[in-house]
Amino acid sequence: MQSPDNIYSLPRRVSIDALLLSSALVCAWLEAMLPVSPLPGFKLGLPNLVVMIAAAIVSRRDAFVIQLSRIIIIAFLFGNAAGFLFSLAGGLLSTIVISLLVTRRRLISFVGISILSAAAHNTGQVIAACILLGSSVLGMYSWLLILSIPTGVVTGVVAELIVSRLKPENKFSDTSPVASSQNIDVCHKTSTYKENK
Amino acid sequence: MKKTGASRFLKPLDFVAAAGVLLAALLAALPIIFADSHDYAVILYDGAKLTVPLDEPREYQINSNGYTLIVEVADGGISVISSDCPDKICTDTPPLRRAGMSIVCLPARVVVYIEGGADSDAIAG
Repeated sequence: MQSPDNIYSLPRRVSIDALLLSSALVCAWLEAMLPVSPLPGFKLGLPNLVVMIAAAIVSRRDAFVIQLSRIIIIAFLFGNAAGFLFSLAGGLLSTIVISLLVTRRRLISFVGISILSAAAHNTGQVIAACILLGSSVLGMYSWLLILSIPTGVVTGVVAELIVSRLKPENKFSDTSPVASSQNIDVCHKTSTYKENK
Repeated sequence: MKKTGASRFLKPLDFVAAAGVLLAALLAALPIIFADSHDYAVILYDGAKLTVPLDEPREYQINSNGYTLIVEVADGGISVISSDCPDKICTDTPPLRRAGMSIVCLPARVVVYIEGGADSDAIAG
Protein backbone atom coordinates (compact mmCIF):
# COMPACT_ATOMS: atom_id res chain seq x y z
CA MET A 1 0.00 0.00 0.00
CA GLN A 2 1.38 3.36 -0.88
CA SER A 3 2.35 5.55 1.98
CA PRO A 4 0.63 8.91 1.68
CA ASP A 5 3.71 10.53 3.07
CA ASN A 6 6.00 9.64 0.25
CA ILE A 7 6.94 12.92 -1.28
CA TYR A 8 7.71 11.29 -4.59
CA SER A 9 4.33 9.71 -5.09
CA LEU A 10 2.68 10.10 -8.44
CA PRO A 11 -0.60 11.55 -7.13
CA ARG A 12 1.33 14.24 -5.32
CA ARG A 13 3.33 15.04 -8.39
CA VAL A 14 0.21 15.28 -10.53
CA SER A 15 -1.37 17.61 -7.98
CA ILE A 16 1.61 19.90 -7.91
CA ASP A 17 1.74 19.92 -11.70
CA ALA A 18 -1.94 20.83 -11.81
CA LEU A 19 -1.39 23.69 -9.40
CA LEU A 20 1.52 24.97 -11.46
CA LEU A 21 -0.50 24.68 -14.66
CA SER A 22 -3.32 26.69 -13.10
CA SER A 23 -0.84 29.35 -12.07
CA ALA A 24 0.55 29.42 -15.59
CA LEU A 25 -2.94 29.82 -17.03
CA VAL A 26 -3.73 32.66 -14.65
CA CYS A 27 -0.43 34.30 -15.55
CA ALA A 28 -1.16 34.03 -19.26
CA TRP A 29 -4.61 35.49 -18.75
CA LEU A 30 -3.26 38.34 -16.60
CA GLU A 31 -0.73 39.20 -19.26
CA ALA A 32 -3.43 39.32 -21.88
CA MET A 33 -5.38 41.73 -19.69
CA LEU A 34 -2.55 44.15 -18.99
CA PRO A 35 -2.72 47.39 -20.97
CA VAL A 36 -0.21 47.54 -23.79
CA SER A 37 2.84 49.51 -22.74
CA PRO A 38 4.28 52.27 -24.92
CA LEU A 39 7.13 49.92 -25.78
CA PRO A 40 6.04 47.64 -28.61
CA GLY A 41 6.35 43.97 -27.91
CA PHE A 42 6.93 44.31 -24.18
CA LYS A 43 5.75 41.24 -22.33
CA LEU A 44 6.46 40.27 -18.73
CA GLY A 45 6.83 36.58 -19.47
CA LEU A 46 4.91 35.40 -16.41
CA PRO A 47 3.93 31.96 -17.76
CA ASN A 48 7.62 31.37 -18.37
CA LEU A 49 8.25 32.16 -14.73
CA VAL A 50 5.94 29.36 -13.70
CA VAL A 51 7.58 26.93 -16.14
CA MET A 52 11.01 27.81 -14.79
CA ILE A 53 9.87 27.17 -11.24
CA ALA A 54 8.32 23.89 -12.33
CA ALA A 55 11.59 22.83 -13.92
CA ALA A 56 13.40 23.60 -10.71
CA ILE A 57 11.07 22.03 -8.19
CA VAL A 58 9.39 19.16 -9.98
CA SER A 59 11.21 17.95 -13.04
CA ARG A 60 12.11 19.18 -16.48
CA ARG A 61 9.76 16.75 -18.10
CA ASP A 62 6.91 18.16 -16.05
CA ALA A 63 7.94 21.66 -17.08
CA PHE A 64 7.49 20.68 -20.73
CA VAL A 65 4.09 19.18 -20.00
CA ILE A 66 2.98 22.30 -18.16
CA GLN A 67 4.23 24.61 -20.90
CA LEU A 68 2.59 22.63 -23.70
CA SER A 69 -0.68 22.27 -21.82
CA ARG A 70 -0.73 25.96 -21.08
CA ILE A 71 -0.18 26.87 -24.73
CA ILE A 72 -2.88 24.50 -25.95
CA ILE A 73 -5.46 25.58 -23.39
CA ILE A 74 -4.85 29.26 -23.94
CA ALA A 75 -5.06 28.75 -27.69
CA PHE A 76 -8.44 27.09 -27.27
CA LEU A 77 -9.73 29.79 -24.97
CA PHE A 78 -8.38 32.94 -26.56
CA GLY A 79 -6.34 32.33 -29.60
CA ASN A 80 -6.37 31.85 -33.31
CA ALA A 81 -4.45 29.41 -35.46
CA ALA A 82 -1.51 31.70 -36.23
CA GLY A 83 -1.21 32.85 -32.62
CA PHE A 84 -1.10 29.25 -31.51
CA LEU A 85 1.81 28.46 -33.83
CA PHE A 86 3.81 31.47 -32.72
CA SER A 87 3.17 30.66 -29.06
CA LEU A 88 4.11 27.06 -29.60
CA ALA A 89 7.36 27.88 -31.35
CA GLY A 90 8.38 30.39 -28.73
CA GLY A 91 7.27 28.26 -25.81
CA LEU A 92 9.05 25.15 -26.99
CA LEU A 93 12.35 26.85 -27.63
CA SER A 94 12.09 28.65 -24.32
CA THR A 95 11.42 25.45 -22.38
CA ILE A 96 14.30 23.70 -24.11
CA VAL A 97 16.63 26.46 -22.97
CA ILE A 98 15.24 26.24 -19.45
CA SER A 99 15.78 22.49 -19.24
CA LEU A 100 19.32 22.79 -20.49
CA LEU A 101 20.25 25.37 -17.90
CA VAL A 102 18.22 24.70 -14.79
CA THR A 103 20.51 21.96 -13.50
CA ARG A 104 23.55 24.15 -13.89
CA ARG A 105 22.66 26.76 -11.37
CA ARG A 106 26.06 26.72 -9.84
CA LEU A 107 27.19 28.70 -12.87
CA ILE A 108 24.10 30.54 -14.00
CA SER A 109 21.37 31.84 -11.76
CA PHE A 110 17.66 32.15 -12.50
CA VAL A 111 18.34 35.64 -13.82
CA GLY A 112 20.53 34.33 -16.62
CA ILE A 113 18.21 31.42 -17.33
CA SER A 114 15.32 33.82 -17.52
CA ILE A 115 17.08 36.21 -19.90
CA LEU A 116 18.07 33.38 -22.21
CA SER A 117 14.67 31.74 -22.10
CA ALA A 118 12.96 35.05 -22.89
CA ALA A 119 15.37 35.56 -25.79
CA ALA A 120 14.67 32.00 -26.92
CA HIS A 121 10.94 32.62 -26.76
CA ASN A 122 11.24 35.69 -28.95
CA THR A 123 13.56 33.86 -31.31
CA GLY A 124 11.09 31.01 -31.67
CA GLN A 125 8.31 33.44 -32.47
CA VAL A 126 10.43 35.30 -35.02
CA ILE A 127 11.39 32.04 -36.70
CA ALA A 128 7.74 31.03 -36.90
CA ALA A 129 6.83 34.47 -38.22
CA CYS A 130 9.58 34.22 -40.84
CA ILE A 131 8.21 30.92 -42.05
CA LEU A 132 4.65 32.17 -42.17
CA LEU A 133 5.08 35.79 -43.12
CA GLY A 134 8.42 36.05 -44.85
CA SER A 135 11.79 37.28 -43.75
CA SER A 136 10.95 40.92 -43.37
CA VAL A 137 10.03 40.50 -39.71
CA LEU A 138 13.67 40.56 -38.73
CA GLY A 139 13.52 44.27 -38.03
CA MET A 140 11.65 43.78 -34.77
CA TYR A 141 13.89 40.95 -33.67
CA SER A 142 16.74 43.16 -32.52
CA TRP A 143 14.45 45.25 -30.35
CA LEU A 144 12.74 42.18 -28.90
CA LEU A 145 16.09 40.73 -27.90
CA ILE A 146 17.06 43.90 -26.10
CA LEU A 147 13.71 43.88 -24.28
CA SER A 148 14.26 40.34 -23.06
CA ILE A 149 17.06 41.47 -20.77
CA PRO A 150 15.11 43.63 -18.30
CA THR A 151 12.12 41.31 -18.30
CA GLY A 152 14.51 38.40 -17.81
CA VAL A 153 16.10 40.07 -14.81
CA VAL A 154 12.76 40.72 -13.14
CA THR A 155 11.42 37.22 -13.79
CA GLY A 156 14.69 35.65 -12.71
CA VAL A 157 14.78 37.51 -9.42
CA VAL A 158 11.21 36.49 -8.65
CA ALA A 159 11.95 32.87 -9.52
CA GLU A 160 14.97 32.80 -7.24
CA LEU A 161 13.02 34.39 -4.39
CA ILE A 162 10.23 31.84 -4.71
CA VAL A 163 12.32 28.73 -5.17
CA SER A 164 14.74 29.52 -2.39
CA ARG A 165 11.94 29.99 0.10
CA LEU A 166 10.32 26.63 -0.53
CA LYS A 167 11.05 23.99 2.07
CA PRO A 168 12.98 21.03 0.72
CA GLU A 169 10.21 18.61 1.62
CA ASN A 170 7.83 20.51 -0.62
CA LYS A 171 9.95 20.09 -3.67
CA PHE A 172 10.20 17.02 -5.81
CA SER A 173 13.66 17.48 -7.07
CA ASP A 174 16.26 19.84 -5.98
CA THR A 175 18.00 21.30 -8.94
CA SER A 176 19.93 23.67 -6.74
CA PRO A 177 23.62 23.81 -7.48
CA VAL A 178 24.47 21.48 -4.65
CA ALA A 179 21.90 18.81 -5.22
CA SER A 180 22.11 18.68 -8.97
CA SER A 181 25.60 17.35 -8.64
CA GLN A 182 24.03 14.30 -7.08
CA ASN A 183 21.81 13.84 -10.12
CA ILE A 184 18.52 13.43 -8.34
CA ASP A 185 16.03 12.39 -10.96
CA VAL A 186 12.46 12.42 -9.83
CA CYS A 187 11.17 10.44 -12.79
CA HIS A 188 13.46 7.61 -11.87
CA LYS A 189 12.43 7.83 -8.24
CA THR A 190 8.74 7.66 -9.02
CA SER A 191 9.03 4.55 -11.10
CA THR A 192 11.17 2.70 -8.59
CA TYR A 193 8.72 3.55 -5.87
CA LYS A 194 5.85 1.95 -7.69
CA GLU A 195 7.71 -1.31 -7.76
CA ASN A 196 8.16 -1.38 -4.03
CA LYS A 197 4.52 -2.09 -3.31
CA MET B 1 18.45 25.86 2.00
CA LYS B 2 20.49 28.78 3.17
CA LYS B 3 22.08 30.99 0.64
CA THR B 4 23.87 34.23 1.16
CA GLY B 5 23.45 37.71 -0.24
CA ALA B 6 23.42 38.68 -3.85
CA SER B 7 25.44 35.75 -5.11
CA ARG B 8 22.37 33.62 -5.53
CA PHE B 9 20.88 36.16 -7.92
CA LEU B 10 23.90 36.88 -10.03
CA LYS B 11 26.32 34.27 -11.16
CA PRO B 12 29.14 34.66 -13.66
CA LEU B 13 27.31 33.24 -16.65
CA ASP B 14 24.41 35.65 -16.16
CA PHE B 15 26.57 38.47 -17.42
CA VAL B 16 27.74 36.31 -20.28
CA ALA B 17 24.11 35.57 -21.12
CA ALA B 18 23.12 39.24 -21.09
CA ALA B 19 26.17 40.19 -23.14
CA GLY B 20 25.41 37.42 -25.61
CA VAL B 21 21.85 38.59 -26.06
CA LEU B 22 23.00 42.18 -26.58
CA LEU B 23 25.51 41.01 -29.15
CA ALA B 24 22.83 39.06 -30.97
CA ALA B 25 20.60 42.13 -30.94
CA LEU B 26 23.43 44.17 -32.45
CA LEU B 27 24.03 41.59 -35.15
CA ALA B 28 20.36 41.50 -35.97
CA ALA B 29 20.32 45.27 -36.29
CA LEU B 30 23.23 45.50 -38.70
CA PRO B 31 21.24 44.85 -41.87
CA ILE B 32 18.97 47.71 -40.90
CA ILE B 33 21.65 50.23 -40.08
CA PHE B 34 23.30 49.77 -43.42
CA ALA B 35 20.17 49.67 -45.50
CA ASP B 36 19.26 52.08 -48.24
CA SER B 37 16.04 53.93 -48.61
CA HIS B 38 13.82 53.17 -51.51
CA ASP B 39 10.81 54.80 -52.96
CA TYR B 40 8.28 52.07 -52.53
CA ALA B 41 7.04 49.89 -49.73
CA VAL B 42 5.26 46.56 -49.70
CA ILE B 43 2.21 45.63 -47.67
CA LEU B 44 1.64 41.90 -47.30
CA TYR B 45 -1.79 40.91 -46.10
CA ASP B 46 -3.98 37.81 -46.17
CA GLY B 47 -1.93 36.34 -48.99
CA ALA B 48 -2.02 39.48 -51.14
CA LYS B 49 0.86 41.83 -51.81
CA LEU B 50 0.42 45.51 -52.36
CA THR B 51 3.23 47.69 -53.61
CA VAL B 52 2.91 51.24 -52.46
CA PRO B 53 4.83 54.30 -53.64
CA LEU B 54 6.32 56.32 -50.82
CA ASP B 55 6.24 59.66 -52.55
CA GLU B 56 2.50 60.15 -52.68
CA PRO B 57 0.89 60.73 -49.29
CA ARG B 58 -2.14 58.49 -49.03
CA GLU B 59 -4.02 56.23 -46.67
CA TYR B 60 -4.65 52.59 -47.39
CA GLN B 61 -7.30 50.53 -45.68
CA ILE B 62 -6.18 46.94 -45.27
CA ASN B 63 -8.66 44.25 -44.35
CA SER B 64 -6.90 41.12 -43.30
CA ASN B 65 -7.92 38.09 -41.25
CA GLY B 66 -10.93 39.92 -39.84
CA TYR B 67 -9.03 43.01 -38.75
CA THR B 68 -8.90 46.43 -40.35
CA LEU B 69 -5.72 48.45 -40.42
CA ILE B 70 -5.13 51.91 -41.77
CA VAL B 71 -1.70 52.36 -43.28
CA GLU B 72 -0.59 55.88 -44.05
CA VAL B 73 2.17 57.06 -46.35
CA ALA B 74 3.39 60.48 -45.35
CA ASP B 75 6.68 62.35 -45.51
CA GLY B 76 8.45 59.56 -47.33
CA GLY B 77 7.62 57.09 -44.57
CA ILE B 78 4.93 54.50 -44.01
CA SER B 79 3.21 53.59 -40.77
CA VAL B 80 0.11 51.95 -39.39
CA ILE B 81 -1.99 54.68 -37.87
CA SER B 82 -4.87 52.62 -36.67
CA SER B 83 -5.80 49.03 -36.17
CA ASP B 84 -8.47 47.07 -34.37
CA CYS B 85 -6.14 44.24 -33.44
CA PRO B 86 -5.70 43.32 -29.75
CA ASP B 87 -1.93 43.81 -29.53
CA LYS B 88 -1.49 47.26 -31.08
CA ILE B 89 2.20 46.61 -31.61
CA CYS B 90 1.72 47.64 -35.24
CA THR B 91 0.49 51.10 -34.31
CA ASP B 92 3.33 51.58 -31.83
CA THR B 93 6.04 50.90 -34.37
CA PRO B 94 7.57 54.11 -35.67
CA PRO B 95 7.24 54.96 -39.40
CA LEU B 96 9.50 53.09 -41.78
CA ARG B 97 11.80 55.07 -43.95
CA ARG B 98 14.49 52.58 -44.87
CA ALA B 99 14.73 48.99 -45.89
CA GLY B 100 15.25 46.49 -43.08
CA MET B 101 12.75 47.46 -40.42
CA SER B 102 9.23 46.21 -40.76
CA ILE B 103 5.85 46.67 -39.17
CA VAL B 104 4.16 43.42 -38.28
CA CYS B 105 0.63 42.77 -37.08
CA LEU B 106 0.49 39.17 -35.95
CA PRO B 107 -3.25 38.82 -35.35
CA ALA B 108 -4.07 40.38 -38.71
CA ARG B 109 -1.16 38.67 -40.46
CA VAL B 110 -0.02 41.93 -42.01
CA VAL B 111 3.58 42.82 -42.76
CA VAL B 112 4.66 46.23 -44.03
CA TYR B 113 8.23 46.61 -45.20
CA ILE B 114 10.44 48.50 -47.58
CA GLU B 115 12.08 46.41 -50.24
CA GLY B 116 15.72 45.93 -49.31
CA GLY B 117 18.85 45.50 -51.34
CA ALA B 118 21.54 47.77 -52.69
CA ASP B 119 20.45 48.35 -56.22
CA SER B 120 17.78 50.25 -58.15
CA ASP B 121 18.64 53.68 -56.76
CA ALA B 122 22.34 53.50 -57.37
CA ILE B 123 23.83 54.94 -60.47
CA ALA B 124 25.54 52.16 -62.36
CA GLY B 125 29.27 52.30 -62.09
